[in-house]
Amino acid sequence: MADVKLELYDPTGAEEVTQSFAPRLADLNGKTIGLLSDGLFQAHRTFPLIQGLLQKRFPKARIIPFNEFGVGRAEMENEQTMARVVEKGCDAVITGNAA
Amino acid sequence: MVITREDFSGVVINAFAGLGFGKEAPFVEEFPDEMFRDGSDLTPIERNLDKIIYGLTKWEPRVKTKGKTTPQKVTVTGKDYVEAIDNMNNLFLRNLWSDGLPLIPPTEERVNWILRGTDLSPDTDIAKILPRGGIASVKALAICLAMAGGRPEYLPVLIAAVEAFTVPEFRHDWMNTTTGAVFPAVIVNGPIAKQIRINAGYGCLGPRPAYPAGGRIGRAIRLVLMCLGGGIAGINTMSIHGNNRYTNAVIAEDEAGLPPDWKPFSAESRGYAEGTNVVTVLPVNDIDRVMSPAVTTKENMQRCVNEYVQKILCVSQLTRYMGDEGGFVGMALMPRDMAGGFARLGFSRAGVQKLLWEKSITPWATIESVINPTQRQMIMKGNPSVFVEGKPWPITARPENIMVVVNGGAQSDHAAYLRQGGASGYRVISKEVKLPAKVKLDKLLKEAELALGPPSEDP
Repeated sequence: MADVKLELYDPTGAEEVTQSFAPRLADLNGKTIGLLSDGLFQAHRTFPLIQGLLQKRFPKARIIPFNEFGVGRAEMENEQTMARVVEKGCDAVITGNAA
Repeated sequence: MVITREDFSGVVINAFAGLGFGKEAPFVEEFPDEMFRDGSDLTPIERNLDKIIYGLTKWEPRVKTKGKTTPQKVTVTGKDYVEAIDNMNNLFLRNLWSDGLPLIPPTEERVNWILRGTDLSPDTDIAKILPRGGIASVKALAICLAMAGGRPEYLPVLIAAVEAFTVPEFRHDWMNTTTGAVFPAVIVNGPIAKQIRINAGYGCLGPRPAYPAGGRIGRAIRLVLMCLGGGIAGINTMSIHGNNRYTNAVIAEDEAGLPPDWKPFSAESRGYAEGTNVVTVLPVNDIDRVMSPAVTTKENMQRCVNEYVQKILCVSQLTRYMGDEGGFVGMALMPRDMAGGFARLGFSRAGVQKLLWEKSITPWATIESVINPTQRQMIMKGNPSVFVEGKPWPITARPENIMVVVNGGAQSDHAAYLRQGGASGYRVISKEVKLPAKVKLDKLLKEAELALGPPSEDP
């Protein structure tokens, strides 16, 4: 039988969900997809490949290459890049590479 | 839709959580690490195209409601207090809530004791700790400080340090996820450092039992980064070797040992009034030892500068910082006698920074051989007046980007250099320490004296 009982705080703290993921797209044909690159881990090779593969599968999709946005870890997520994503009318973005 | 490499799913999920989404992400299966190397086979992308399309068209989140959730308390038992503490430590290890060293149980009583160190409400939210996005309320910080063996009077310094490194420009999200080994170093100026026993003297990088505060505040910061930020090695932070910095580095400037004409670092380099309690946090990758003769002559001084610059100049540094005008390169820690030697030869703190900066100027042939043309173009674009094609380049755009702090005791011979965290874009951030009411702080300091004995007067 236990003689000592300790009630302890869980140290992971509170979490707050403030945002919802965007609804998925029913079909990529007719949609605009932006590619955002951090310039790392072969992104200069993987993104053109993904662009080509998607374009072949969805000929009516408009795919905006990564080099039309800011490239780099900080550049890919700054306000100018986000404004450019909106300005280009992107319905979806693919970001990479690695993490 | 995210493309990631093997073992990085945790980092990606945490990154989404840190942005305020549920703890999930529409990512494809992890791609093999080999695919992300030069000349790699990219056929895994072709084979997984359907999964990329699935992420864009079909994937559905599990978490569909917004709101805040607070974890419940947990209970441990034992036949006596020692066994209960042992069981608690085992539970915290299993839950990944531990740095691996023994912890003090964060009971309500212990956490309330720590909370006496601030006038802020326990429910005050200081920041979200990235990448996971756990909320660092005052109470959550007190829990981590309790686990680290902290005392109430340490809490204001911990709060100020967290406020500093969570300023977006600091990029603590990078620090807490990188494959590098970046850890926060905290420099404390002002009377609070001595009052709560943060070491500015011998062995300031630790350990030193007469000055336990720095190690325990630093350990609490590590627990904040792990428990609230999700910085668990191999899962959410991909630091390849880590840095053996369980306690990070929380140190003070030796203000009593400054040369007569030098003001405290917080005043001279960070713009605060003398006597203000200030923390300055910098992301550091390495601590190098600098061996130097006592600075008694110009020749000895030059040898000392050369020793520091040997640590400042390395190829990885050359390629990273040159074009980053607001970035810093590192911090020279020097003991009283070394700083005094520079001062006796007529150099202010800014003068020492200039000496180090000038010595860092590197011949064009070396620049050309270690920095590729694309990087050179970026650096020149960043600061065209300093970095000119065909001319020698300094390590950084401005001498102020090499910081100087005095601590480490009265001798010369050895000093230290804290090298920046391994990327351009990191920033150094300072914050004023918000103390509780004087009567409350005085009471806490008296209690500390009863518990720990009188403070040491040794340098």
